[in-house]
Amino acid sequence: MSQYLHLLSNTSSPTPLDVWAPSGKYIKPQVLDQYAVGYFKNLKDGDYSLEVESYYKSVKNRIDYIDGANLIANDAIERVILNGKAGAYGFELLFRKNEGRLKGWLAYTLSKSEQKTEGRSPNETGINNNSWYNTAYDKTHDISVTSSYDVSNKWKANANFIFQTGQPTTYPNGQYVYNGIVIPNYSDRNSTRLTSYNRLDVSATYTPKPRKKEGWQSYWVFSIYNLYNRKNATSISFAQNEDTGRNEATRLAIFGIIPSVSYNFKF
Amino acid sequence: MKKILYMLTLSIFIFSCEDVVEVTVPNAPPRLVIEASLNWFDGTSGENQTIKLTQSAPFFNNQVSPATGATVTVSNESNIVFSFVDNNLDGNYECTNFAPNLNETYTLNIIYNNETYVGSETMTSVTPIDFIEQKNDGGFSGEAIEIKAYYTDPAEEENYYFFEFKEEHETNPFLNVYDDEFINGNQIFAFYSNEDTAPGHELIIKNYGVSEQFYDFMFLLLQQSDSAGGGPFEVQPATVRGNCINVTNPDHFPFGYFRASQATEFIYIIE
Repeated sequence: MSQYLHLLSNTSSPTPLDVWAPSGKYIKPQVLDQYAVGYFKNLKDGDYSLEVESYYKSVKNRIDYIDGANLIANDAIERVILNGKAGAYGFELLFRKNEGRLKGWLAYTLSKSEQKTEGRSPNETGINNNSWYNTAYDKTHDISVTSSYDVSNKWKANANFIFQTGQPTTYPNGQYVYNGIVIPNYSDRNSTRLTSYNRLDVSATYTPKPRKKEGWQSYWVFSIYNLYNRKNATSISFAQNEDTGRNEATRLAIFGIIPSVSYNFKF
Repeated sequence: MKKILYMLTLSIFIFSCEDVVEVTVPNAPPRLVIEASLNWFDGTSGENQTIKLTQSAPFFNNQVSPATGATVTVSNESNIVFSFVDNNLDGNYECTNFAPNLNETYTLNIIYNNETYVGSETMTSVTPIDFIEQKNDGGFSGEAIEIKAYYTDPAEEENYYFFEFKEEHETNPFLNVYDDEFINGNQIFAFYSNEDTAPGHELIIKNYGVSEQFYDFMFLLLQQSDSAGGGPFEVQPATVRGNCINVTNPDHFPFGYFRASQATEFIYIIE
């Protein structure tokens, strides 16, 4: 498979700037080879189903920013990127319960996604000294459980749990003082990870008139996102606290617990 | 539609939050940090120079330790060698007979822990600060004190400036670098604003003439040390390397920079 549009993202920032660059004179199209083997089976006359799949993917011409690239209004993006390659492989498992009052599925993915960006000549160090490093979206474990339970004709309960290995990011591996200010020194790109991401969402759906199949049909959804209010880190930044003079790690978490009510209708 | 957008934006601010957390960070072995800044201030002979050597430390340490016991020399184009001596054993290597010359290239040589570090830089000129402008109704609040230090960029050359603002009662200097790409030949200002600025404070403004290489170095350094770190237009942070190399063991490269600048100073009392 080939792809002629490249996504460049500076993912360490909480407000990522995604640049889509087309292939052209300086950027070669991404070429991808993918292999997948899967197994699918219905159990107990289709009450349950099991899917297992594993895949391997290798990508040529995967581009990434050089260290210290300047992104502001940069109309010559090819000058701040290097051409590299990427690879990903993994194992996926999906177990589903299709019938009965309790329905749902459990999905698990074990995967690895990495890339290598070499310098153009032996004198250039490339990224991370020409070695393989994690892509920004590499997640070793990804578990999700989704279930729904029919309490009665009118009420239905749902729950949804997600656990993911923390995203790769770049932490400092030291500090030094230069010209009176504290400078964090950063380790290799994407060599460290944020803390793991997990959350539980619950919701209840209320359909006042479940038998009505035409005209004004409506239902209410009451839901709570991130039930146990876990502060999943979107990013962690490192700097000196100007008041105390100590170095600190500051976590940015975007969504804590969010209750919501929605009214849906169709006619 | 506008209202919905407004609500959405608002909800992001309400539900997002920042807090200080404990994280485990990797620890790299210490490296030599070279703060070799030869500054030739207006109206001085430039004989007295100090080179500061320290070591890098784990990120959450409260302080960094000096690098003592090094042999530090700077030589000029005619191979005259100036020795820098650490008299107080505090990592400040001093020289009292340095001879600065504009546009002369100097070579730094440091022997520390049996490894040799070298770097070279050309003494770069600077333009004086013409005047200071103070504004008391700046910022979002309309009450912030803003200081502008005006200088005139020479049109015929490419210039890079390194400004240092040090206000009384502040522990850290406020640093910034400027280039003349868009302001060549014009009178322009360096900007300083700080929420703790108060009338009566003494503000020492220093302007150093620097090379393009130093400008790039300092630009990245400031970007990565900024407390607001990780702005939307930044790539993943990485190690920033200066102009000094370790010739004995290239992988054990130093941090910091060897800079040679003509400099100018302006002392301003905030009104």
